[in-house]
Amino acid sequence: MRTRVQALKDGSSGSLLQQAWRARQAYLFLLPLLISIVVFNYYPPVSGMYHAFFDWNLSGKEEFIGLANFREIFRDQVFLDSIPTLVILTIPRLLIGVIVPLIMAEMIFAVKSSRLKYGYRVLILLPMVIPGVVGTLIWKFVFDPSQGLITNLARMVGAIGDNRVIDWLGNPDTVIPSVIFMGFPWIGGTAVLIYMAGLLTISGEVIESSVIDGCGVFRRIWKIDLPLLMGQIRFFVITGLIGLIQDFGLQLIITNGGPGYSTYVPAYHLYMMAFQSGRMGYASAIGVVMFVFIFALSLAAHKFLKNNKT
Amino acid sequence: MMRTMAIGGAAWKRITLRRTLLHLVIVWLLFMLLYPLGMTIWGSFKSELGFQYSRWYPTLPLAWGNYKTVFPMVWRYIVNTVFVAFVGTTGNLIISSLSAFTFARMKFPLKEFIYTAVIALMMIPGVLSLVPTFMLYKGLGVFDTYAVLILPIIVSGPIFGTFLLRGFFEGIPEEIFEAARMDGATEFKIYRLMCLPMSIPILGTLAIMTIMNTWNDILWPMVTIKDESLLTVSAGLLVRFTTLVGSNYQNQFAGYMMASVPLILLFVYANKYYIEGMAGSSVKL
Repeated sequence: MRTRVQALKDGSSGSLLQQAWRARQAYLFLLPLLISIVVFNYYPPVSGMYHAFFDWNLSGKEEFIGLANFREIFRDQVFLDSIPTLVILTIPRLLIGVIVPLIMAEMIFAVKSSRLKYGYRVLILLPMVIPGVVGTLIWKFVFDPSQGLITNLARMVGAIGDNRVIDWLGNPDTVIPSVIFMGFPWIGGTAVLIYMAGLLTISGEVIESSVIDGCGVFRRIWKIDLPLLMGQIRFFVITGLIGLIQDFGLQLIITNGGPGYSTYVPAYHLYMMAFQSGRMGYASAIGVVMFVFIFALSLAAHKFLKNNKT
Repeated sequence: MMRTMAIGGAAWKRITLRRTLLHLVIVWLLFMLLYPLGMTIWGSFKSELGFQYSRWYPTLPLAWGNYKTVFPMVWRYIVNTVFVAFVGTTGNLIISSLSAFTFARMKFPLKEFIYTAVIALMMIPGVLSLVPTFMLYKGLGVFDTYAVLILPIIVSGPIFGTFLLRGFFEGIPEEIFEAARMDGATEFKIYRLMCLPMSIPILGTLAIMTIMNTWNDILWPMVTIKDESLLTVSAGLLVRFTTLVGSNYQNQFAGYMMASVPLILLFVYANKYYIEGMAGSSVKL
């Protein structure tokens, strides 16, 4: 027993194979994880890249067709038109997702009473109690053409006639702004908590002395808080970008990519190709193109934000 | 204290005004954030007539009838989700904790290499693996069973789980484990009888996250389950319930609220841990 303990502790004696054999128990403990990883998590992306060069359908038929899928993607008008839509949808949602929780975190941070501070945080998390799909479906009702909140507010302030019906989500001109407006005032509870965790690391003395030096709140936020929160901001920009580019929850739950193709995004096109048309090879190729794009973009974002660090 | 006293009356008034303003803005934002949720809650308790005339604010009496109407339509999804989440989360916690313990507390060749290989998977975007993962599970012949819902939680959940738990396990002082080893405890015993009991809060956090993910998942159940009696909550609400219940909003809302009951219970019980856990976290890049 003693020798095993000793060996585990310094783990450096003998050849690599001997060390591995002595540590066989560690590998045994890792076995379930390793099998899961290889079979269910490494195999699929590799298979996806492989099958992007195939005509691959639901029944499992696969036929090598070289670059045909990729050539088709760049001639596919639905795919090409979905890219500007993605950009228009992603930029405002990304900015909102990074900035709004930060403002809210600063406001709650400025609250003096610790009980109220805690209470506000609980209230901010409250929307978590409903499933995301329900949250989105509720917003569908908010935008209901005749009975919804938005239409009725517009009637109330006299912007439209009392019996006017506006199909916010069914009209190509209004659907994009409506979809971006969804979730107003866009306060993500978890994001606020993450920002607040960052703000809490700023020591009370720093804030105290900034007050004594006659530094106003906004100056302090700009000069002290923001540089300290760069790590969190970077996190939200990069994960937000990666998440938003792949997101098609809205299309799945509410718009079906419509009206027409006005809310079609590449990821939704991939979904439709795979699960409505059964073109698994083509969908895989779209996946590969998106993967390359996402990878390049997140590398660039990481680099750019890193340079801006100081 | 000195400084407070030195501030004159006018300045003091200005500070009070600013604080009041701050609270007003926060409360106003919270009101707008929570109003759609409130509207759903009171809307679900309104009669058809009541909904026509007073849907913007709560009224009495509560019409429980909506809940009676939708119960037969949603109970099945709730039961399915609870079952899937329970089995999946248990499996995820076992594999994640055992793996994280091994990475945090044992020495073996290639440790960091294997760990990096696991963590790197967090960078693979879903769009790349969605289709082939679908075909893989199709090949396994598990479509239209609970297995196709549970298995991904157990085999893919531990990627993030191992990452989350390793950091926590490494924070436990090594001397405690060393003493147990001296007394002849096996590594597995140390893991089960010492490491796990000391890690209840972080295991709870991981459990909450896993349950929430199961609750919110729409896409996977939608594409892998054709038998509607096996659907989980989110997918069930979307593909079946909304068409079944029609355009009757008060019934729709009752269904939404009923589907949220387990999450509400989880929130009431666990929001404290979540807030404290996040306050101590340092999520950044």
